[in-house]
Amino acid sequence: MSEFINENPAILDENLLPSRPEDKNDTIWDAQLNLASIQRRMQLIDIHQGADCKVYRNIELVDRLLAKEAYLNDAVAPGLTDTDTDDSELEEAEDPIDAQEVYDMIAHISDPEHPLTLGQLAVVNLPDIDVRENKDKTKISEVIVKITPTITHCSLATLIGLGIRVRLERSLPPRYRITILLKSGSHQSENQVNKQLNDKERVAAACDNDQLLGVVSKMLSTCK
Amino acid sequence: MALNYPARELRADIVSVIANVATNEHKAVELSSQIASKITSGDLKLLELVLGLRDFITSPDQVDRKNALHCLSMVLGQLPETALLKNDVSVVLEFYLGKFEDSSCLDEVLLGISNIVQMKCFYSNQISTTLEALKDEYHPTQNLAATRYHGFVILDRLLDKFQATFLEKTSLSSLLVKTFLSVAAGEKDPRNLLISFRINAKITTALKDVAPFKEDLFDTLFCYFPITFRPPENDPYKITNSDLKVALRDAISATPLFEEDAFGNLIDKMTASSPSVKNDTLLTLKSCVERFGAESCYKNWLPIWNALKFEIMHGSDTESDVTLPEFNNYEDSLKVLTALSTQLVTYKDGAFDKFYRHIFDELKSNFQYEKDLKQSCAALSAISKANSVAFEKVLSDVLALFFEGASDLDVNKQKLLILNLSFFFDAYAAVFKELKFGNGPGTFPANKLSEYKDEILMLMGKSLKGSSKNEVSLRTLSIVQMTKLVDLPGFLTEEEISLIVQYFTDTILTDDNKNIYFASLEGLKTISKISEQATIQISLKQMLLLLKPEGSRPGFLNDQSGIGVDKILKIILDFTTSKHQLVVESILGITRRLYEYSDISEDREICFALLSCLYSLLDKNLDVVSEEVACSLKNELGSELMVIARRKPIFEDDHNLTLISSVLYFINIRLPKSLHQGEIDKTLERLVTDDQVFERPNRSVIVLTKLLSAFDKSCNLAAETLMSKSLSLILDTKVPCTEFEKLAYLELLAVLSNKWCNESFVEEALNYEKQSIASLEVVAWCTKGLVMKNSSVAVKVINMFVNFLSDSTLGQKVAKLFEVFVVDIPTLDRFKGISWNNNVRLLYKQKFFGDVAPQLVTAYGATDDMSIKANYLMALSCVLKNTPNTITITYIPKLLALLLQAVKLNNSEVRFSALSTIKGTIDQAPQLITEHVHSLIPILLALVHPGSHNTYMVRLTALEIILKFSTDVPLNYLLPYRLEVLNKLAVALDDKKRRVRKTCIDTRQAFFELGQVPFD
Repeated sequence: MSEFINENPAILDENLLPSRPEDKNDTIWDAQLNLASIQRRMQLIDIHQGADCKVYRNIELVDRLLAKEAYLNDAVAPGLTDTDTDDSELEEAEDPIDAQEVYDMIAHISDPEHPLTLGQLAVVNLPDIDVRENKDKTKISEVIVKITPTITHCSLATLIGLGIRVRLERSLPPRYRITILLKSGSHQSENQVNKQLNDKERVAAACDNDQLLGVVSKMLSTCK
Repeated sequence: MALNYPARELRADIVSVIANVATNEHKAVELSSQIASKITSGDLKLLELVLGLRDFITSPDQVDRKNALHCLSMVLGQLPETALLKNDVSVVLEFYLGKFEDSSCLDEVLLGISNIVQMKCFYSNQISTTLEALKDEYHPTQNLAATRYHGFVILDRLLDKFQATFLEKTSLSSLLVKTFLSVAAGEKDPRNLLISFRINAKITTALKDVAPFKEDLFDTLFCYFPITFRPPENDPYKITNSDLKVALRDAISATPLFEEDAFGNLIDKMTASSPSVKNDTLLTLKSCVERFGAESCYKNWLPIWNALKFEIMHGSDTESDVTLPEFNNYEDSLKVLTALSTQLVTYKDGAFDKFYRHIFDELKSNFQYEKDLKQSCAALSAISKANSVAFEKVLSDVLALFFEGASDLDVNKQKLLILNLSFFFDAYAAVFKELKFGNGPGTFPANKLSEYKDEILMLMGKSLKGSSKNEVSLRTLSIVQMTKLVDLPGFLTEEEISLIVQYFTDTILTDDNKNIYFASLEGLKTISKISEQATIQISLKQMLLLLKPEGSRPGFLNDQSGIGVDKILKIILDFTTSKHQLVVESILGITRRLYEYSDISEDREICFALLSCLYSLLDKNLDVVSEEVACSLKNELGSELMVIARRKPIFEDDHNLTLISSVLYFINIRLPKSLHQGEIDKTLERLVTDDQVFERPNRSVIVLTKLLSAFDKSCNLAAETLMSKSLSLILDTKVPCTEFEKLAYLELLAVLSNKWCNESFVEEALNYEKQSIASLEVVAWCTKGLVMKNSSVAVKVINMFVNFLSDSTLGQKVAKLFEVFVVDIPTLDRFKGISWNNNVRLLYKQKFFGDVAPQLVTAYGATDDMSIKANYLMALSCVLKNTPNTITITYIPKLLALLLQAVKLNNSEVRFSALSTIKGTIDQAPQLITEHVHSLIPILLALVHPGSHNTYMVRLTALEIILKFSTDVPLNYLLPYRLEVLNKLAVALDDKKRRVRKTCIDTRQAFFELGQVPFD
């Protein structure tokens, strides 16, 4: 690829790509905390920029020792080997899979012909990702990703689509149906490419091709 | 022959020197120094030595001759300079000069001459014969590098010794130069080049009348330019590339005689394409400009400017190049320009003007068309850096251009203007750097930049306050540049600094952008370095005022500004770092607010926020809290804090009461030791007598615990009475006691047993016989104090605890108690610079772990009862959780079997702690885990499934371990599991927690690519 077809695409700064604000919940992992304590922990993280400070550890220790005290005073504690003990009575809060999460999976894939990521080139965009979650996890849910090639005659649109599909199939739970489409009006042979991208057999055949898979691997190697 | 040294011995020595010359240099040197010492002491005459060597020297065998001469030359080298008489010197010199034809011995001959030259009786009349011989009879190109080196050494030594003679006799000095030119011709060896460059520089600086040779001398230098050299491995001389570069650069710039040749040639080299050549050229050019003097700069500035101009305007790396951080041609070009300007501005009238006018006229049009404006400004700023005269001249032109039509600028133009102005702020800083802040703000000398000060401040103020919040980069830029202005020596007045503090404070409070937050924060920090008062009076005061309660809530919450308490506290914490007065004022201010809130409201949360901030202020700035500060804090706040501690929102809240006791601890620990006894007595009176904490359980005991842990352990305290009282209080089952209270008493026991109580007293006081979990807990806490000082009593008690683990009724809870021994509690923390507050040994955990871990392993193996085994695992996990990996790593091979069992136990805490230990082991010593991979992988895959005991952290850690395998375990161990891992991990893709899903995706990706050949 000595000559790029599109040598000067508009590039977004990597730091300015849409991203999820840091989740303070991740830092708090004590199982048995009541709501008020959790709020206090959050407040500490806010004021002290993170949990890595003495005051946070101190509060954590007070909670832990009190919990231990309660355990020791408890007359009937469950045995360690009993199978029916359940020490996580509080149901874990669920983080649903959303468009941002899907975006984070694919935005860092490298473009096959530029040393840039699909997010930087605005090939994938957050508003163009649609997650249709089915509340019943035994039923099919759907993810639709619309990609925008950098130019309307981009010959690598199928390769980019394949890379995104491989990444999503590896990263999403199997209950998702993945549909990858070109954004309407973004490509000359839109229908053909769309057909090719969502044809199971053609995708499977492509994945059997070692050379092609090597190219895809290289594209995925920049994923974070 | 002298009796002390018979000919026999001499002969023997000579023979052994000769025998060793080629094989054992070290031995030969040693032997020859023996001979030399004989000559020095007068036991041997040089003549006798020569006679002794005669047979060898005249031998037909080359090797014999060579070795014999080497022996002689070496002995000469070891003699003090006064040892030889005039006659000896001339004879030996004569002898050596006659030996020039014998090409096989040239090395030794030159070495010998170089040593003879050092002799006191080598006189100036012998110089010319020596030089002549060197010039005519010695052909450097036919000899090895080591031989050529001696030639240089002769010249170097002559030059050092006879500098005065050379200055007197022109003929002699020209002979020296000619000889040098002949000796240095065609040299390639780095060591020889180094000395050659040095001699060259000495000739041009120390001797007169070398002008006729200037071109030849320059050519012998410049033919090496630019020099590069990669030292071979085990280079004995340790010469580096930069040694050579610097030596060459010094030699080229040594004398203004080279001016014509140097500037011309260097400017030619500026057209080179290699950036490193260019850099070498620039540095040499700078050195020449600095050393050749103003006159030659005046002659040559135009071509130099033209060469630099290209580099500055069109240079490839105007942005500092990330890939080649070792040099920056753009910056160095600017430095040459500054050097040039510095030379010319001190030269005759008009020289600088001519130079500057020319450049300014060339660049002027750039201001109009905004083309290469950044580079032009950088160039002009470089010129103005020379001194205040240059600064005035440049600034009067530039500022006029800048502010000509600056009244109505769009955002981009504002940004550009501020950016370009910043070059001249740098210049100001460089020119006026000698102004010390001792002169105080606003004591600037009259200068052009301050004439425009109002315009500049207005421009920046407008950019910050007047533009929309979305203009992040413009606003950040103006904050950064205002910070720079404050930092300029003596530029702003007090009022102007205050204005900027006000700007920054408003911005940091109202703006949510991260960049702007940090820029303002940096600004405030910088200002607090220069004018701490301004920040206290304006910034801190305003923030504390915002926190002031109105009704029961902070006043500002009633308006819609959207500033939160959290944010204000965060800013206060962030910008006070180690600023003495700021820290103290913040502590005082926040305590006042706390006092107000705890009185009027029942809101525990705001008290918690304030207390946590107070805690961190003290904790992070311990170095600020000196004895003096602690005393004044104690005087100002001591009683207020005690009052606060009894108020409802604090007293009834576990966290708040703990935090306020810690705050008291921090203040008291820094008090002068002489006050401690008095403070202890006061504390006891208040808490024991007034609050009666030992009569019935009282939450206030936590204050007592923390305070006692702060005071000097050598103070008098009826510790044993206190201990007995607390023991009976908590063991009395009839008195109800909350968990918080109990914990506070237990901590008090640990402090007492660590600091004051006699070990034997503790041992007696502990009643193990009762065997209730409550009494065992008390024993554990008392023992904790002993464990921390490595007491032998502790070992006994711990053995007993290990035995209790096999007890079917108590074992399970006893296992939990193992955490007590090693958990870090703040009351028994070690403090930098404070040794008297407790008896905590540095390596106590190591000792404890070394004692306990083997016992647990043995006991675990000895029982078959699964529920008992589980107790051992629990105890182990409690210890591991609180012990750093560096200590556990040595026991891991023995522990691994237990750990593998522990992760299967139905307890999420045990699982997590065992997994954490495994994870830590992979980080430090992956080879220990490698052989267990086959048993670990199925276990880990099972732990990834969400289940009642696989909590969030268990699943996450299990995944992280599998991910670490992909980098730390050899491929052949992993490949068989690749498909299994990929399949079984699919379940974690649908985990409830995002972080688990993310880690799972990364792990699967790593396993998909496992064993792939790297691309390209």
